[in-house]
Amino acid sequence: MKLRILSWILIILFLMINVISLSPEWMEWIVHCRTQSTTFFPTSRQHFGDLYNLTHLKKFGKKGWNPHFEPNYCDKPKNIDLYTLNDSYLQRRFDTSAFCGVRKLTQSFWDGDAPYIQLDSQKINILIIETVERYLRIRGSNMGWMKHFNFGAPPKPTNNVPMTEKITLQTLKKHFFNPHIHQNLEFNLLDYKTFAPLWETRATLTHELFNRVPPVVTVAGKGAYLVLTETVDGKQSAASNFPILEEELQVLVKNWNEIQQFYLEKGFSAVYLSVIPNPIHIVDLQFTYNQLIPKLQNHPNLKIPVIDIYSIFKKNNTQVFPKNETHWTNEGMQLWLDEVNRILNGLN
Amino acid sequence: METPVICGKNRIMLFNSLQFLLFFAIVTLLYFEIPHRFRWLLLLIASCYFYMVFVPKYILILGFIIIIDYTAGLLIEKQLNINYKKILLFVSLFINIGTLVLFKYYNFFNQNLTDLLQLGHFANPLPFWKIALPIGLSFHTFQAMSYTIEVYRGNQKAEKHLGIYALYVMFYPQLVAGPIERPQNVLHQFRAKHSVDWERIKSGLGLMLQGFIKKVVIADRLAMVVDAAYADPHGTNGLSLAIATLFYAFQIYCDFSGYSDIGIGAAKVMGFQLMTNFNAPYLATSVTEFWQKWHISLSSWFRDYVYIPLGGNRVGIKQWIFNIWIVFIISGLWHGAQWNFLIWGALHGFYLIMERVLKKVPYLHFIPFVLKRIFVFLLICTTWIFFRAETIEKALLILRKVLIKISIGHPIQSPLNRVEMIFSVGLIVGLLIFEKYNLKIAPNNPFFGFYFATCVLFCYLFGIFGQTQFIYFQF
Repeated sequence: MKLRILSWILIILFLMINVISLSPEWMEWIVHCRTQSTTFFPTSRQHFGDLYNLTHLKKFGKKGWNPHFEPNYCDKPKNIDLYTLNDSYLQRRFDTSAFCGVRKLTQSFWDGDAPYIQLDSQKINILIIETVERYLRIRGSNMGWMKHFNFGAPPKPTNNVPMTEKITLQTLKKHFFNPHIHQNLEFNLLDYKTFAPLWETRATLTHELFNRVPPVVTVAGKGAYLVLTETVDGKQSAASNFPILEEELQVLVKNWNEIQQFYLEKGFSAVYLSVIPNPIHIVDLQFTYNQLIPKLQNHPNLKIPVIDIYSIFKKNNTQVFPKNETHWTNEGMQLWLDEVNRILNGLN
Repeated sequence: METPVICGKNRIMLFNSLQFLLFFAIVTLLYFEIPHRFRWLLLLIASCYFYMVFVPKYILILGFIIIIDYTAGLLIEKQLNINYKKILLFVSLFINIGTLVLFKYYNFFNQNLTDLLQLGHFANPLPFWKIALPIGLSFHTFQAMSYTIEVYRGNQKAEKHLGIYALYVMFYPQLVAGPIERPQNVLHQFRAKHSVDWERIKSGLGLMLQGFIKKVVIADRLAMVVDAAYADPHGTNGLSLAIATLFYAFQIYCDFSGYSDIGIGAAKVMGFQLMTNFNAPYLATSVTEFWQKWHISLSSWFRDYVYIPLGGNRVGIKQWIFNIWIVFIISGLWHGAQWNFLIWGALHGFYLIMERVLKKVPYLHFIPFVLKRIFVFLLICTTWIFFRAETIEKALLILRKVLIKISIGHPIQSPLNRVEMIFSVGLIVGLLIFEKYNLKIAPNNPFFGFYFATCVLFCYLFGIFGQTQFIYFQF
């Protein structure tokens, strides 16, 4: 009898884990709770950074970044509508009050759905296109990326029967066959700070014995930093040591100018490009950098104005990137914000 | 890095994934808790879900095949006229093979037709079909065909219960990569009442763990060396390619037999006895013996349904050579619609023919077993080059480098460091010793718990957990 009770408890528990991991809505809630709270089974990634979470190397298991970012708020007359096309560096990290003179902030994520926007001609409409350096070349070579905002009012939802049926089937599919079940289960079952020693033992053994870490991550900067392999592997175009030829640079300049022109014609008052540098050449001064950012932003034919965070980061190279995280530190984020606010102040 | 993603493209429920472990735990616990009369339904629903994780709508293809063969089985059994029986069998086989051809071989034939027509400067009017191959199609169509053939032969009664028959085709532990079962072995088991037997459960879990070790500790480790060398045969020296080929022999073995072990073990936990699929094939002293030990469920399928109906070895030497070639060329094509696989099959056919010829040579049987094993293993490795290389040109280049341009002085090009290379060789040697001396610990042994825990720890510490697919899923 005891065995049957235990069996049913396990069945219910496993089913609950499975249902939660399959449900996009539940996962969103769980991810939100576990990354925000320090008491509700916090994730190890939240404490030690995402690159640590991929490698679990003990020496990088230190608090590297703080997700609770409190920006220096700016109290200015609000006459700007700010739009950002951005990576995870900016996604959900700021609210409107972090920007000087900004009345409304609209964010569009590179990998997300394009939001519907209607520009207010009474306001100064500013667009900041933020991209990480590792995608600068691919994003600058594909003009399809321009479709990141839908201009006009969002379409009204239709209520006819076929649409409802379609939505029901899609909803079912989304809940029963969530393709990210593996990541979600890993998150729900394994990603706990408590388990860190277990993962660290295994990772240390593999690293010490076999000199191997997961292929997506590289130990760089004389063993002091974890970085994404694609940013240091000279065979990949995302890498900071992948050579750049003048011809490619000219194409990039031309395309970024066209992207600027496209959005200006749509009604924006100004369009800025902001490139977040690959951490490797900021933190490792010995790294053979292909000089992509300086070459692009100093190119005589480039018309799109650049928010030059590269030079600022170079001067503050030890503070802006954690040793175990792909994203920047709060200091790095504040430096970016200060530079953006300096520009916005000039416009207001 | 982003937070866990919520939605995206389809994937497969791999045996070496958390999703499968959870799925297996839920299904198995429920299986023992619910009344016996509902168990078939539970397994059928679970198997449907397992299959639908890949592409949900492909369940319709499987459903279509199931209904056709189920109906064919009933009609064949009822029919007294042998000619009508033959027609019904032919229709069933035609639909099964037709489905396979349509999804797996259509583009291959079409490409070859295009190449042929281009020689005469003609354009091919037939379009190419851009479609993902339904996972495990070759496995379950062959299993379905064995049912109608056995009913036709009178060795198996037609299954009246559509659900039980569907489960025979869809039983999730062997749905996507075998073993390709026979109805006589499995169908009756779905009706049997399996109770909780801890010895059996421990034995099944032990087999599953053995499969996990083969897959995540050995196969996926060797794969790193193999993938690097075979991705760039031009830039890889002969010695490194030779090592990669030897490693591939064990990679594919551990990958596939590991999958079989997990599947057979998972079924065993619930009380089902599936057929053995591998039996230490690299300890074979002849190619004939190798085929009695490698992918047994497929080789016996070809033996029973192709080779013997063609006359087997009770025919003249010319007919026998023809039979062998036909069986192995089909076997090659079964693996994939590529010329590489066809050559792989043809080479095996050639070896078997040569073996029969050389049987008459005196003194050969005096060769020590160890030397025979090594020689047979090297012959098999040669065929793996064609199996693994992306094109025939690359396979020939690798063969040339391995056989002619090899030098012991070459540095070994490998993504693994020296320690891990030695560790990998140690794993292979360990595997061979384990299989040779059958070092398994019986579930009733008092040390079984300790042995199991040690294996789990070993798997955890040295496993490579990257959600890599099983090689045979593509077939």
